[in-house]
Amino acid sequence: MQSDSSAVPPDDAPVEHRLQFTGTGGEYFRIWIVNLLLSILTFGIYSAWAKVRREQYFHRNTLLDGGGFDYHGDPKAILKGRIIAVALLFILSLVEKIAHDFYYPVVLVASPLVPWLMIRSFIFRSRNTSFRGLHFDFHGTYMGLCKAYLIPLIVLIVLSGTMAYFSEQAALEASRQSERAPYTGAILLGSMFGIFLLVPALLYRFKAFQFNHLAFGASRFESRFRLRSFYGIYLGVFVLLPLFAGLILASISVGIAIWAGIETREDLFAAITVLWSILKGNEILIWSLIFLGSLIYITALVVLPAWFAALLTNLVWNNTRLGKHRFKSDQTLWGVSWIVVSNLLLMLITLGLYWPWAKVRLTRYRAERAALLAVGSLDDFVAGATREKSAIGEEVADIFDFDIAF
Amino acid sequence: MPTKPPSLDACYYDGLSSRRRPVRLSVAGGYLLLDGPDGGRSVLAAAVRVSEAHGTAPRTLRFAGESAFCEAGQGPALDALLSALGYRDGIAARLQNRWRWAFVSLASVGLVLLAAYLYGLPWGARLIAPHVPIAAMRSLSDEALAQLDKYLLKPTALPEERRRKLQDGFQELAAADPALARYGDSLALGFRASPRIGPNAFALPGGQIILLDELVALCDDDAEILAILSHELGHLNKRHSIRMLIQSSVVAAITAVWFGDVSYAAGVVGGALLNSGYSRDMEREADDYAAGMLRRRGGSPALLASALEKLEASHLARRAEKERDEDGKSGRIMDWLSSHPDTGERIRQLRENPAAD
Ligand SMILES: [Zn+2]
Repeated sequence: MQSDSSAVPPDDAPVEHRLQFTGTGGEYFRIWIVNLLLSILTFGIYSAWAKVRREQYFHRNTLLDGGGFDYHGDPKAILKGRIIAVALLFILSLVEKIAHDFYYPVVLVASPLVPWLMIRSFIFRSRNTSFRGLHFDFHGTYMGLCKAYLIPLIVLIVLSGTMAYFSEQAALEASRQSERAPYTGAILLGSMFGIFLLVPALLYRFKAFQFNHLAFGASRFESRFRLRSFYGIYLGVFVLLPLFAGLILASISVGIAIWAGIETREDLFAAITVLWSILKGNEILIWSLIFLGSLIYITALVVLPAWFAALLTNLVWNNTRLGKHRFKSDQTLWGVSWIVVSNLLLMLITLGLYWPWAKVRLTRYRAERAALLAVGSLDDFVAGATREKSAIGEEVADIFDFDIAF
Repeated sequence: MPTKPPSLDACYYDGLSSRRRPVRLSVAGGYLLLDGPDGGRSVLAAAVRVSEAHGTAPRTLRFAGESAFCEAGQGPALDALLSALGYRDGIAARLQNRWRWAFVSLASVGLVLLAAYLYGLPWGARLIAPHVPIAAMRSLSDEALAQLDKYLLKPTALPEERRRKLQDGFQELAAADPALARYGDSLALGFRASPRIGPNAFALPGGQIILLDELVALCDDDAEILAILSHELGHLNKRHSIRMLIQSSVVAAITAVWFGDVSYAAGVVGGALLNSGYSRDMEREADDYAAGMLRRRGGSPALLASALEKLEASHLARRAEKERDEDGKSGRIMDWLSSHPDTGERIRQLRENPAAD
């Protein structure tokens, strides 16, 4: 390990420090399988220790300027959080199965807990992560999160209520063939579209809240990004790209039709009949078509969210700073597509055993496409005040699958 | 090779700032010595907390009760220093650094899961099943039956008189077993038709038994039909559907967690494949129950055997017909899943039992 005291540049020109990831799939596989066995043999109790091992493996193998990150989660705190989370989940599913009428009232009563859990989870994660001996911290408060979400949340509730009401109404009117059915249908579609359009706004508020309350030691992160960029990514990935792909497919099939000399409707029917008769006699062809179709479907299901995540990560980190230092993330669509699709195929082939390699590959890609643009030395950060940390929020969030990764 | 006292270059952080200081680490007289441009210090070897080895990542040496620590790259120099400090890896750390132990773990995980699936799961389900409230099962069954009625079942075409006769026979059978009383009003015989399913009868977990017209047509003798109904009552008495329900939801939950990162669909399909219909043991249990019931009523288990023979024959005929019919190709997989390879064995067992005990 070398000292970086000589690396201080003469002027304020930023020095790029790429994140490095030194873990390998084989190493992580061994950690994963040994800890899985221990967790099974202890009826899940060891899983808290396994989680700490996993986090430590990924944190310590992530290097910035030669120094590793570290994870300090206390397995006993995690175990306690896990037990509470499992109990909550169990009660909730019990209520859903047996006392169905009480399910929504219970959810409604419990919903103010959600922001609290999210804050606890952020705090636990950040305070248990360190770099160069300084811990991260999270300064967001319950009221702060509620305020950030208030307006979009009210809009969301109004829209969902409208949707729920009018979907019943639409079904009723459609069955009676009422004249008002088209209007009801339009309102229904409108509210659905409204919810679809609201997602980027919610995400924007969420990311802004998350990053503007994050701290490294006593220094706060600052994020400045525009709502417009969130809409750009969202609509681009989930609307424009599928539309574009559809257009390409359509023009290819039109091209084939012209090349094959199909001019009238009868020609088209004849061509379909020929294709159909070829298909009908050939079971292997049918199954390979089904296989190909589901492969394309699953790929789209995996690739589009991966693109969205990559573009979002780029956007957020490229507009975030920590004091004088800035960040950079340059994940590419091809890069993530290759990784998620090949990961998916290998996981299917190996019945999930490829999972450790898949996780390591994705982590390495994400780390190596991220950099700190340091202005001056990294020596000048100081520690903030230390505060307590409980794992309840983190584990509940984990079990309920909130996506809260930084 | 001359043995030098182990020493290596590392970084020192005080935990108060992000400042990185170069230090030279060495061990002497039970102390870890730190020596750097800003001065030196020594720490009692017993107070040094070494981080687990995580691949090739740098390891940390923390000092008990302090926020200061050292970070050192891995290699022979660090290993020598650590052994001089008297540090040894923990058991889990040693296990997870060897491929041999990884494979042992993988095989053990497989064995444990297999054993849990084959023995633990049925045992647990048997334990839990009596405590599941009938009302909950009833509402589940009603839902399932509504779905079946919508897609697979048709109203019965049996004459009223025939139905009443079968209904009376069924009530008599059900009354003979006091253990069935816990199903209360839910225990009932329902009539449906289904050309798509063919001759069959099935028990829903809430206590309803559905008899299809096709089965009534297949068995000309009502005694055979009642033999099949007593087999279905056996499934109810032993709570087989509730047990299967518990088992398949556990399997579905576990496969969903396992395949959660692959795709949800794979988990669902896996769960369905592992759990199609009752297990062999459950069918045998229901057969034994029916045989006992038939004997107590002065009948013979051979009645159930002959009914099963007819069912099997009709099943084979239907399958052959489907294979001849080109359009039936997609049905073949479902057919293969729902076939009972051990029906012949069951028939033999029923026939071998003497008529009276
Ligand atoms: Zn049966």
